[in-house]
Amino acid sequence: MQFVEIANRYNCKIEVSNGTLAVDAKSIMSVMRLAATKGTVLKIVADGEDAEPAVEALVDLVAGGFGEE
Amino acid sequence: MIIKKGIGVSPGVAIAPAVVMDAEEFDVPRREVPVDLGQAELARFRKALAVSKEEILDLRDRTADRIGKEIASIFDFHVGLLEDREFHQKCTEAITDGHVTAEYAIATVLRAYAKEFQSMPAYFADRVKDVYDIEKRLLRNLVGARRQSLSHLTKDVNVLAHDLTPSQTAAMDRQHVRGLAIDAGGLTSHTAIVARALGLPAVVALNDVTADTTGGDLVIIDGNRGIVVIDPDEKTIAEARLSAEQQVEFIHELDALRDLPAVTKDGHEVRLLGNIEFPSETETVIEKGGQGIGLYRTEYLYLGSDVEPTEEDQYRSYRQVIDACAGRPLVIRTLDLGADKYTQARARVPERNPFLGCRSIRFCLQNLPMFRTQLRAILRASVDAPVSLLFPLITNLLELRQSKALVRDAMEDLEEDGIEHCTDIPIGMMVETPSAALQCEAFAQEVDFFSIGTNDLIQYTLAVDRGNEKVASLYSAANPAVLRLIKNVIRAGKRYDVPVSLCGEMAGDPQFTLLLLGLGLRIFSCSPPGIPEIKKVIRSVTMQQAQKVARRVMGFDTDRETLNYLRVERRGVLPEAFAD
Repeated sequence: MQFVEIANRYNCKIEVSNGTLAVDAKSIMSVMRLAATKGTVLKIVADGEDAEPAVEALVDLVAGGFGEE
Repeated sequence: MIIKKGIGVSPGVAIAPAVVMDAEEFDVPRREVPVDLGQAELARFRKALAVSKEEILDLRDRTADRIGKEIASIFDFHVGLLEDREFHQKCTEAITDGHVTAEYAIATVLRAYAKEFQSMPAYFADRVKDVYDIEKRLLRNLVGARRQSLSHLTKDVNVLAHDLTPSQTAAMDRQHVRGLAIDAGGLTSHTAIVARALGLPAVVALNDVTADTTGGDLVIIDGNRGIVVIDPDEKTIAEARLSAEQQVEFIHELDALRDLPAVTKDGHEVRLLGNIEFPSETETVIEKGGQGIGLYRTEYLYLGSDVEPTEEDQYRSYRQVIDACAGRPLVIRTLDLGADKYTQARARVPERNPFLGCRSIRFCLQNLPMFRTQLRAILRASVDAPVSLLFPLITNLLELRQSKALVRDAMEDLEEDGIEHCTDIPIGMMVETPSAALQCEAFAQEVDFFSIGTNDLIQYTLAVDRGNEKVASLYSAANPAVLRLIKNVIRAGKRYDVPVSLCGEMAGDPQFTLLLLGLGLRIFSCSPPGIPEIKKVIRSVTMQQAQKVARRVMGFDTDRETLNYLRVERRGVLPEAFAD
């Protein structure tokens, strides 16, 4: 949820994949489709002006365990 | 073009685009939307999204306040879904490219998500019920928006629904609704009664007309033949127009009778009154030549709004009718809420058998403050006006005595408060149960008048739910048992000099006029549009003819014999009205 929320703060196009499936990082329904749980390796690809800070923010979130754990 | 056959319950032909009212259910049929209505459908979709989101945000805030932020966060997913761009895109595509309704788009897109999540790990599978929850909310808001629109219409429409609740019909924009067609119902269902009262063509018991119709489809509702035509061809439209014009001509012809008295050829006078539900109908009664109001139903005051009407609200409504009557007699029936006419939802525990439950006078006697408010309002309004008070569904003498005592109490209270009120209001009772009809001699000594309510009398005598289409054919005013009860009441009225009126649907059905006259009925009260036709029948016959018909009918053992016999007799009396 937070992941999608943060992705939506940026203008760039962001894609997230679990190795087999790549989806729109700004849609909660598509991200859900990745069925990503703890331990899943995610690849984030962004394209656009603010791509760099976007990826950074998302990586921080995932690496920080979504600030939950 | 699709032709659906049902039961015509209110005559006339209406040609207009459809408004389809969905029931709140999960089966959303695929319905196509004409290309030019795609934008309107998209707007409906967006509005439902916005309203739902607002509701959820509100719910989240309240949950956070009351239970805690953690729990409230479950609604974050709901909000996320409603804002989700993929979801928006898929629904938009379905609506604009697939030309389907917003309901169908939402249902299919969300169900696809749900299916996908089901096969995923626990956390995701758990979201399935959230998805269904959102679906329900969105659909309810879509349907709700349409329901709302029945009270604010901008153009003429035919209303199609699974069934209509009294609160829906009470809130209906009567200027723009041209006809009614419903899946459920029988001859005396609420929809049928309202349609006749408003003079709207109506067809009921269509089973699945709402599934075959999309909002905006041109629909013909033919109440004379009991059919509904969806998307009619040119020829059918032309025929329907002609039929509608003829109907109007016939009505105009009857309107010419307005100022003539309701008197038989051999000089027997009959009182012809109107039944009303809304104060504004009073004018229609007078316009149609009614000599007063024989039954003013007061339930709409309660059904039309969410809060209980105050004494002042009621006083104003009653005064409005009294003023419109301008000295003509008026019978106000006290609250007849309950069973079909009252949302069981309001009851703490839904009754298992509401028609045999706490309805009508029983409901009033158990809700005394509410009942007192109404009695006070009626007594205050009827100062110096020929108003009578009528109690519904009396089944035993104690109920009658208790109700009368409450009227006396209300008078004393008003007296003490120094408020002007009527001190000698005539009090009558409805005879609408076999117990009342069989014991009418005892009742006759304690009331000022009787009013026979045939709708309930038939249902309670024959044990037929009048709203159930499976047994609707057993519901018959011509059943010998029913006729015997009616005869019994009229006779007791004569013996004890208590006036008897008949205010059920039967009074407005011209095939029974001769019979009722012959049985000795002298006061008819029917829905306003029916008045001229009944008057025409009365003016076309002699009392001798009527008595002969009554004698003959009372000798029959089945309603079929009676109906066949009456059909032949009525053709002889008023051929143009029955050219079928």
